[in-house]
Amino acid sequence: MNTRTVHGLAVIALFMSACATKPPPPLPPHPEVVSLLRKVQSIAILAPQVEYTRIVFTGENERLPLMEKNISETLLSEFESTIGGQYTIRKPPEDQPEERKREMEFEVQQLRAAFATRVKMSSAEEEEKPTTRTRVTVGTAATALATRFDADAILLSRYSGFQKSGGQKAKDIMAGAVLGVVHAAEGGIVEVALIDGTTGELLWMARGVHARFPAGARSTRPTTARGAVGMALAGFPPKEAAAAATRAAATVPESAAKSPAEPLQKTATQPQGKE
Amino acid sequence: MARRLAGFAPVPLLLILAACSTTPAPLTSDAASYGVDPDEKLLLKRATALDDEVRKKGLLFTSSDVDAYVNEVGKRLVPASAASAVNFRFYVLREPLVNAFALPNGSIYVNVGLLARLENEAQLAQVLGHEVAHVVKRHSLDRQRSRRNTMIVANIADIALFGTSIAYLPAVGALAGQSRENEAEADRSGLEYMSAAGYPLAEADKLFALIREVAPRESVWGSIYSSHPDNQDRAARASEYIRSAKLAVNPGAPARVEQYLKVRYEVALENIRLKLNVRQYQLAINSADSALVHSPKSAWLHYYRGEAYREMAEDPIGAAREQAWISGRDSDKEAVSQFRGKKQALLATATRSFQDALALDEGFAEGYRGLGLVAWANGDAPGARTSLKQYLDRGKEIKDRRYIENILGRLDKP
Repeated sequence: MNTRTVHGLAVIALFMSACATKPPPPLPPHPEVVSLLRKVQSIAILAPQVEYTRIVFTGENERLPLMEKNISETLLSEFESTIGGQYTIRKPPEDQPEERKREMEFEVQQLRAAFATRVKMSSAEEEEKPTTRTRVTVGTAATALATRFDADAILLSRYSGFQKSGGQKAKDIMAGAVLGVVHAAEGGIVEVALIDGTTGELLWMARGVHARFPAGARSTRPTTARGAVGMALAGFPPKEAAAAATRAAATVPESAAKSPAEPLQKTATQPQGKE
Repeated sequence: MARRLAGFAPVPLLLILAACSTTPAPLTSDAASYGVDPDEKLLLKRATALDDEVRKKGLLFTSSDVDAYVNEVGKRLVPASAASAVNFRFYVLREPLVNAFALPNGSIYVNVGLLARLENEAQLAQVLGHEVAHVVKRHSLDRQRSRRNTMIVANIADIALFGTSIAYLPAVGALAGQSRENEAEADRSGLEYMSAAGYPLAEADKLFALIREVAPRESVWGSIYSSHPDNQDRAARASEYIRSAKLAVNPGAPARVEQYLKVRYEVALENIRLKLNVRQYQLAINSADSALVHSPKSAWLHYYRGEAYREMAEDPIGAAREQAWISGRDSDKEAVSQFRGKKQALLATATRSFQDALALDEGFAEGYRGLGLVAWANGDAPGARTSLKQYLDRGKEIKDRRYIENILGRLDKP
């Protein structure tokens, strides 16, 4: 299998490995993203929500807390180094009482919930009538946090990844040999969203993925979580012309998220010309 | 190829093991073996991790009164022999879905969405008794032995949703999801505990009736707290069991309505706040109306009711989607235009609710916020300016100061 084919299948196999639901593509940027970003001086980078799981053949999958901690630190450091050069980074005070920390964490969860609700709704609208710009607001869930951090905008992020055990990899190889595809042995996806702290509007959203394949199969996709962040932030801050393209580039092929029971050969015919 | 096939070698062995697995003995008859089995050890480890995650994410409702009350009621239901083996703890979760669940380590969670629906302590006892039974009967272990873990699938399926306050649910499903047989057994045992604790079993019927009224999307699909078809005959099965097992029905015992309503008020406020956050306007209105029956003098309840109407007026697409979501239909343009057409009426209702709140407490800052935002939506700049400034002047901790000041800034522009 050549590099080109494997590359095209990277995202596909990532989702085929563990996902039965099609993830909606990132929403288009705010119509005035460029001018609004000019007013942003400070950004609160919220701790990413990280889930990392070891998939084992028997199904006794387990979360790997140490790995999650490492990935969380990597993501934060990547966000800070990329965004910190252009904006002032705001962080929560470290000496907060436990109760206040928990309350803040709950506000973050509320923001995630409000954002998820909006993304779901807007994605359905996008599917019916695709646009290159969209206005999406999460309301006061964002402004409360922005007030707390004294930040002009909030960077919300999430990462979900996996690694497979030897038994699971062997099973994938067997299935792949029959169906003619290669499954990722490990991988992940990172999503970032920048939300205006004053209005609660989504300014910009992007996604990056990484995948590592068994020996012999090469891919030009990033192989680490750090690489996935680089991919997601490649278009940040968005320029007028580039903003519209962000969404198209990050869209997961529809076939990528179908049930694992779908014939995999179909996915190999997806357009692969964006290398 | 031989090496590749080696990965499949455990399959026959697993099938044999699955076939040979036995139902674990309940804690009431074999407390000594609790936590010894490797499967159960793993479950307990995961349950503790989930407890930590829920706490760390601030998902626990931390009112000391509510917490103490729920624990007092819950502990009264635990059979003594099980209490010596497991440290039962009862938590209230800041989650608007109508649901409750038990983890194998004795942690029992009940959502504010469910607590806000109940009418008295006896009904709470039945809910908690049911969940206690899952732990006592070791249902998680039983389930673990008979199915594969689905945690990873659920986690990654949620990938594009940025997580939610219910991000714990996939893990909960893996630890606390139960078979229909186990649910039926928990219903029976729950009634036994409820009876032994002296609660009137007549409340069981009422609880099942309440659950039948829960809108499909208000609960976890297929759960015993939903109006799932399988749940329709639970009441009949419960009545039959009460008769056949000759349980004491405690006919004269009080259902303890007053005690329950004291804590339900706080829970109801949280439930409405959470619903508004995820744009469940109609459900928030329903909850506010229901809570106002018992607490008509609460300025907060009037305020949240007003907020639900105001937000509904300003978000016709969201309101139409919620309406469709509740009724299980697709949202359509006609519904959106209907909500658009009702904008003034909705804003007028919101205004009346904010005025009701201020009539009860003229220093109630949020009431001015509501009036200011309605005025803003109506294009009444002077009215908006006056009310929003009053809000900022009177409020103690203005969480949305940035948002309000931005509006004031726009109003001040010529």
